[in-house]
Amino acid sequence: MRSSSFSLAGLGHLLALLAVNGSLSYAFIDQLYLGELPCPLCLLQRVAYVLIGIALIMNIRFGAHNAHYGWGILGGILGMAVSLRQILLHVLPGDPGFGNTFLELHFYTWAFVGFFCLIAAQAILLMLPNGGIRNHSWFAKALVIWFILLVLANVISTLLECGIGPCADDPVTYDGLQWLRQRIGF
Amino acid sequence: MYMFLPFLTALIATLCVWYERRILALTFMGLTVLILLAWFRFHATTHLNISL
Repeated sequence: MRSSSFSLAGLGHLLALLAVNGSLSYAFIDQLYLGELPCPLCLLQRVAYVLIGIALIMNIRFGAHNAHYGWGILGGILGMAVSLRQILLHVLPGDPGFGNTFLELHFYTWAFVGFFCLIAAQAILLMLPNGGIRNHSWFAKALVIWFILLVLANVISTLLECGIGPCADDPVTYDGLQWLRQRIGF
Repeated sequence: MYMFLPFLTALIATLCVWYERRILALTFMGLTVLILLAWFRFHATTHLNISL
């Protein structure tokens, strides 16, 4: 495997990871700035985005491999299943849906579109030559670190929201944080 | 139901990728997929309290 040579597939991996990082970051903006706590199905969709992200950083760090694409596509299919489940929960006429909207679509509908696009992107990346080139450039490292920090933030956020247990179906408070406050007394 | 668990296994997988432990990363990625499947099965087959 050569290192740090330009390839279209390598650029595609970076752009796809940028899309995953952007989606996960926007989810945090909605959670922290707009105060909308993610529901259990929303969290599972985040996990599916993270799975695709891991497949992409493996392609970036180790070079493209069939197994990486396979796990990434599997993550995308699971994400589509979860988001479709949530779309169908709110498909009845008159149902306001869950949470905020962006460009007149709910986030779970956007997630479905996102998973579809990321699966299609991985199918295209599979066809491009020189995917096996490793990318250890500063830009690639910055994207990978950004992604790792987002996953860490999701671990902490989910612990604060749900604590050591199941999440509420329609969460309104940080149950884990309240439990911690009661235990420590701050 | 530990909702943080799939994020934790995913975080371990990402750290394995950073430290170039490919097989270990794939193992934890597979574990994350299995947890996601199990948690989704739970949420797709139980009654939800979302005030529909």
